[in-house]
Amino acid sequence: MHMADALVSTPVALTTGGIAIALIAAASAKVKSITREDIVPLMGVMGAFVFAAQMINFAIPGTGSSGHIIGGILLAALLGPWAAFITLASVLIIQCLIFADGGLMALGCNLINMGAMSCLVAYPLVYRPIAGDNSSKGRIIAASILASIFSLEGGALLVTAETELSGVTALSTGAFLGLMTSIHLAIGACEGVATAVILSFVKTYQPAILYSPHSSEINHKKVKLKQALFGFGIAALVMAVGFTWIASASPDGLEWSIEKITGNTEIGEATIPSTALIPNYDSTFAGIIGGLIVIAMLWCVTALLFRKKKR
Amino acid sequence: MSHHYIKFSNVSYTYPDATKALDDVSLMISHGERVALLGLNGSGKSTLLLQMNGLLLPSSGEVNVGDVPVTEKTASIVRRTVGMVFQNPDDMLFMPTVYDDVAFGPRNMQLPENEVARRVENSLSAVGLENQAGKASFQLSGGQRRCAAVASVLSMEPDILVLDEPSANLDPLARRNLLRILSSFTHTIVLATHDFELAKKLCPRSILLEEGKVIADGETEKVIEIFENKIL
Amino acid sequence: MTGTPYTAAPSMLLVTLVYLIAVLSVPIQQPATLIWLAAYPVVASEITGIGFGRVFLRSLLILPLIIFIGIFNPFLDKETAFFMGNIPVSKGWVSFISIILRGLLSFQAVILLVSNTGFINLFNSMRRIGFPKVLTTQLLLTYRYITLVAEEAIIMKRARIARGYGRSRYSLKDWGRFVGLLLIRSSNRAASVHRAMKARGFSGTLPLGSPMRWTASAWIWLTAWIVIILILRFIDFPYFVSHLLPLNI
Repeated sequence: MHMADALVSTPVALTTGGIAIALIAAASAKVKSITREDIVPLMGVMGAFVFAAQMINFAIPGTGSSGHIIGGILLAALLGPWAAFITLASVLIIQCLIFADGGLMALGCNLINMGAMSCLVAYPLVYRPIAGDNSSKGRIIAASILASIFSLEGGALLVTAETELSGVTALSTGAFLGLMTSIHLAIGACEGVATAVILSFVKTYQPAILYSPHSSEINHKKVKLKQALFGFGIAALVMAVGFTWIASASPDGLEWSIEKITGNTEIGEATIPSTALIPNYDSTFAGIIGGLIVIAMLWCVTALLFRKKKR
Repeated sequence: MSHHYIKFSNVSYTYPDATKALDDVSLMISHGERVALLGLNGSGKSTLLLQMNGLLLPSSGEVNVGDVPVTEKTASIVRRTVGMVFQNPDDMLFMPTVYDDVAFGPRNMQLPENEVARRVENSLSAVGLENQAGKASFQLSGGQRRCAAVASVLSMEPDILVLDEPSANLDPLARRNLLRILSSFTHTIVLATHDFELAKKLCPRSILLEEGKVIADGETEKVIEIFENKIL
Repeated sequence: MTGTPYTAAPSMLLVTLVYLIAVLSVPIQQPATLIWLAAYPVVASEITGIGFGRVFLRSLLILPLIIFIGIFNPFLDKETAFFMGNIPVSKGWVSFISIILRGLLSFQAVILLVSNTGFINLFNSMRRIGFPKVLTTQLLLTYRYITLVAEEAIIMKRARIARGYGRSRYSLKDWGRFVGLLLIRSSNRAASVHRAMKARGFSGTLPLGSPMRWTASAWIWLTAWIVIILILRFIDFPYFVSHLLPLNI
């Protein structure tokens, strides 16, 4: 499910990054308005818990393989959607920095595909209506499974879309989509069953820590409207810019948009040969060899310069 | 200020799960006293300590710190007077650096940053950690973490220091160091402990709890004797 | 943990972001430009004393993942891009090389960022350049408690192995009990952390530390690298070199 840096193009990375930042801003405003005082330590430790839980594998019945949980629906069921989103976001960010799961530029994609899809879409649309007021274990189980499948399939759909828009892979859209959705149906089912097992354990032994919307104490008036509007404004702007880039057929959206804005591309071309619209393969080989030589020289020089200084 | 006494009048406390933890406790600790709370696990020591700075409020009866009755409203004032060191230092050290952990209390008190800096320096040097301010708490040893936890409370300059099992999990050297630090604190100290040596060395007076009731209160040597006879 | 004086965390973070955008904006048909952009990880890791060798070796960790992503391209896009001597090189291979380079370079930049600043400085500087406090507090606390919760998990796992008679994987039901218990323990820990915070006057938000000063060297680091990165990205060095080196026979 993790997207990698190499899979996304700049327009896609910036668009999804912008949307993710806007979502984080909105979620932060929401979390700030939660009057529950222990939300800060609770979110922190729960983030750590998801990390630890991911180290422990369960056996997938009948296959001989094993898997671990991602935890979006689980967190939402414990903390509510917005706090869960922030918590999962922190987990994804730290994972990206420690294990290079995904990458910094693909982070926006990952926050949307995994975080927002599970906490902000699947939880309110699927989990909450089915689970109701947490009174029945059967409902919690059904809700966990369905919401997890929904969120992973939704995520798979987004991964396909983002990859295709980035134009990195040469696989056809249909084939890629088929592959992604069928794999993630299975992954979603496992995630769902695992979430259900944990939540029914919690329901039996410590039901008080399950989130219920009636006791959430969210004071809606306190949410700073300005802040939320600001976030959405940025999101809309970034989306508009991003989609124009994506819509452009040219391989390099940046130049295309510069051309649109200035009305011509003369500026650069008159003096320096710009990175051409039509790829100039003639210089590729020589460029690579020359580049390698220069970089190797740079390495030697800087290594000599700065290592001596240290000792 | 000499009016910083702690007074419990007929205090009972029952946890939400219906466990009765304190049963009609009355006691008085005057300013400058050093008192050890003794008793088996589950006898109510920690619950009693939590009552002292309003983290738990009595189900019936009244707790007074100085002239202030401890209630939901006064809890934040009481917590400036009563500093509490918890059993597990990891629960108290959550900021990026030791410095920030020790500054946590003063900053919550909205003190200006130069006053915060002064207090942090003072309390860190009181526990001998002045050179560790920039480290993250998980880079410290167990004994150093306990000291950092104590410093993070000292920086609030409390008049009463309350400690829950301060010598638990400490090696002999760290324990001796802690004893030295606590001896130099001139105000009131109340500590819950299983460590008879520590109680004898630090506290002239001890209180023995059993099933939420005070069953002995007096000179430490004598209270420990009663306790030992009970266990045997 | 602050590394060398050049690299105040916020400037390091900003340079990394600019670099990543530069790398990812290079069209997939131009791997040569990417090679030139390697100047940043190579030089910066030497200046900061980490050593590019180490950074490079660590970055190889993600190689399997990127190879998996790009491996289809050589088979699907067989149109010839250029000749290497007499050997035709297809567009698929060119884009494959591009994908590998992008992956390696962007990961190297992240390694460089983290090993220079450390997580805690990184999260602090995120707060200082305007990320929401809710998020940065969350990052700090999660990072702080990962080791403790993981330790608890390991202790539980060990206790389980000690009595497990060689069973290594958990059935789903046992796993649920195990993780559920870990969850309840975690929430208890959150409660005691909260209590310890409250005892020291906490009322909902963590207090900010003293503001970080931007030193002159941090400014120099920031502006110098942004200029260099932009030059490497937008001036076609491969084109110049191809005129100097008589390689396109």
